[in-house]
Amino acid sequence: MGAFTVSQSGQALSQRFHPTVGGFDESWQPMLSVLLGAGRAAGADIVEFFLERRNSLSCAAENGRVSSIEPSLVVGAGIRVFLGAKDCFVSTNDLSFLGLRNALEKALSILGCSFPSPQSFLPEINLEPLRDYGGRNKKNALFQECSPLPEVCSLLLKSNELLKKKVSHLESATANYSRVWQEVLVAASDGVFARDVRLHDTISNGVVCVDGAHRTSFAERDGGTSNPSFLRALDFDSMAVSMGESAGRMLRAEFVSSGTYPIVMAASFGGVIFHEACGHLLETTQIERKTTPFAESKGKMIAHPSVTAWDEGLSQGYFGSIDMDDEGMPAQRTLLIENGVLRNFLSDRGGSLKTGHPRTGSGRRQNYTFAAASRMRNTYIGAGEHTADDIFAATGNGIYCKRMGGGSVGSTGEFNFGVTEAYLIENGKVTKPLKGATLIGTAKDILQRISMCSNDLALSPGFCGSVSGTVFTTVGQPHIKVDMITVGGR
Amino acid sequence: MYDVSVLGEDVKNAAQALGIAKFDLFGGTTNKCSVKVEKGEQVTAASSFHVTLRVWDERGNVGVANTTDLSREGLSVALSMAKETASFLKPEVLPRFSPECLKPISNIRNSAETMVSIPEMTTALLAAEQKLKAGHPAIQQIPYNGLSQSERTQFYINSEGAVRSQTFSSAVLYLYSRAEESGRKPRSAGWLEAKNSFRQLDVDGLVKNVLERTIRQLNYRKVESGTYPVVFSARAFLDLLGAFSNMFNAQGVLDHRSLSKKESLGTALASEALNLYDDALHPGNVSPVAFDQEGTPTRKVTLLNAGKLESFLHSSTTAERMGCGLTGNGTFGSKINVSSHFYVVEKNPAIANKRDVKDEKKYIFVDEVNSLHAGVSALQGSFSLPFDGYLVENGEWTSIESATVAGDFRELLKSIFGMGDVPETTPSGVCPEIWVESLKVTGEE
Repeated sequence: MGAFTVSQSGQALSQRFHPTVGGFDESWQPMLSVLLGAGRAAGADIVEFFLERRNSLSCAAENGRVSSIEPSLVVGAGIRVFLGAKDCFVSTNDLSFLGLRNALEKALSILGCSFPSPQSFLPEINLEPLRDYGGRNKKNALFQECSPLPEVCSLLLKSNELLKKKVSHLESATANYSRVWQEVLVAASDGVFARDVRLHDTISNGVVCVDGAHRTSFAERDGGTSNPSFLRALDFDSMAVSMGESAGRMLRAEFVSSGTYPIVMAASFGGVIFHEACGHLLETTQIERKTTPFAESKGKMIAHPSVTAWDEGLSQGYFGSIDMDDEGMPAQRTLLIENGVLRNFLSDRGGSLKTGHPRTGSGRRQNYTFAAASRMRNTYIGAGEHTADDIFAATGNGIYCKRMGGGSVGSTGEFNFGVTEAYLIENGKVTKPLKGATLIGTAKDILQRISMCSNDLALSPGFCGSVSGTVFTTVGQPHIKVDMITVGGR
Repeated sequence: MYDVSVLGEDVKNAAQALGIAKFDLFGGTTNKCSVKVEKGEQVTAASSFHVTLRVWDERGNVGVANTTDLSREGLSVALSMAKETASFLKPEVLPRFSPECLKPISNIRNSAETMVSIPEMTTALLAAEQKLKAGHPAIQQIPYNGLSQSERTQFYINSEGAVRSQTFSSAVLYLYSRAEESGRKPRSAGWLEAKNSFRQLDVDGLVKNVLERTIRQLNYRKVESGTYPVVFSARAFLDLLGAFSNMFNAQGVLDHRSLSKKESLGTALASEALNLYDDALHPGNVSPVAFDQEGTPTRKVTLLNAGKLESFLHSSTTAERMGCGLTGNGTFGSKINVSSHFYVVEKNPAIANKRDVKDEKKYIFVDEVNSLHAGVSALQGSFSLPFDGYLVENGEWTSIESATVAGDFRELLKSIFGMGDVPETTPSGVCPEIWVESLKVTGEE
């Protein structure tokens, strides 16, 4: 509990603070309590500090050579101040008392608040005892346990070598690895005081294959959270085999004929359709902007009864899992849609203040330069009762979207995403490969057309870019049947 | 403005203490504030700095590290990290300082414009939002809006005495409306304007532009799937060009990650009606950089001359490997790469349009292409992209409800049958309308 009781601004702010250098712990509490009190004394409704230290490494191997190694060290803080319907966010690289004070003063002045005079009384901010997920969940040593640089280089070269062996007509093979270690501290005038340590690893293997006039390019990604052995435990061999098979088939694929088709979307990364077409529209950010058709649909049927969908941060090791969000709230499992009925929105602090929907531990940001916003974590359509074979058989003739590229949704709810590996379905069987397909539609329509879900739910790592930067997420689903969708092609 | 010479001295001293004789760095500082008006007001302000340091060890290997900590201790830690990575990195060619890093650079605007106050920005944005909403009853929200001002300094320093810095200021305003009429689908339109300062922004002009675009979107219809002549707006064509920029990227060519090969030089990549340049110092460029991230002076580079590939864009490394002159397009990092600055697409004055697009009975006007990250296969040359645009039939323009346009970019470049007379300046380049023989358009059914 905060033991600091000095109540006059001049005295409180002229103290010398000695927070731990090079790490966040309880020693930051007195300084942050005083600054939060100063913010409240200036008239702010809520003040929040988000402090960050980041140590990241990106490495690439291309065609048997380590071509890039970039370590990065970043420190910074984001200060957010709410006042009525306004809010202001200021970021700085300077974590000293003076640096944080200047940033707070700037934020307050932008909102028309004056920093308290030396005689002003500061309200005492009783921060909770540090809620330390780093210590509690044994994550403090994650960084030290990661693969050292020589091992990273060696594994990336191994990946190049395997691709060379397993992929025919190979013109170029790449392996891009990225590791982000992050320590964050959140302190807010409502008493939140929490620390977390995060580790995210991701690898993307890519190939370019050329055979005469035929070209194809492919990439496959894997990722993990809080797993320092991620890279050394990765099954590079299976990854190379899978890429070799897909690239081999797609090299001579024909362009898909544009039109309207029933489709089967593969399990796992196929879930990007739900992420883009529906997930974003269930973020309170979209309600604030009035860009979601579902703003008034809570409790109403918005999808086919076969659809139940979740967003959660609790599944251990998955890319979108978090112990706390970037506003210090513990992660939750949020039921979005239950048998077609909209149950909940995803909300951060600001979204909750502006829309009234309760916070769901979904306040996320890329780093200290962004204010947190309502964002997805691990988002997926739940498993159904059918088998994948049932779904292909029920489809008859259509398109199988096995591997998806990225996608997006516009302010009118229209979504689109590319299909990087597709096949024709004829009489319930997967036949010839197709390329160049783009799926387009609107969320409201497509959710009603997901008529079958299989029992093979699988999740896949991804990155989601939106208002608060790019965050680690998971998308997922079982095989699903979409009764009809427009496919752009040739 | 950040004192770059102090940073140079600090790095030099820290490097000496670590026994590092050769280093260089590229970095930047940014002061930015932006305002958004949504449900309430959101103001963001940021002060940030970063540097990327590159060091050569005693065996000549090179290593890199990034940091935001510009204290002496922070720089020392970053230099140590960079030195540590040097022995693991195996570039095809060890990078050297740019041979032009000490050459004089163009003396372009160095003093930033004064920023206006945040209340003034907020007032201007709120007024723009209200004016746009008042322009038509169907416009109920401006969900994406923003006004920002920034001052940015970029610098390059090396151990041989190069110290370059340049400061830019910019102001950006964007408004994207959402309009909905009873019983009809919601429609959206927007535009962005970038200038050197807030005072130069034409706020009323932008509001008028977005209002007209939004109203045009309200009268929409489905388009039948098929093959049509297609006209690209400047913005749409420049976006596509940017998505396939690997065609001009020398590093991409050397890495086999480009649609071009070394032998493509001198061959026709596009219709002979097309000239294409990369011109960092073009007067239309809001951020006209005088030097690239390796300290090489920038210049106007002819990429396509009458449709033929005349040059790639180079870093100092690719220029050396391919035996070409520098172009000032290097980026800085562990692996030096290449990027364009500001495309200038021009009509070749020696070639007349094959015919006038106005004579076409029916064509598609693509105003804006969307989702380039999802719908472009940059290494295959193909694209399939949703777009905002119009069906133009017998001179009458009707907004298209929802559709994609698909094709092969190399074929598109060769099938240009004409260009508009008036080039338009956008934040990413200058370009007239581009008229293309035929592309596949798929309408939502």
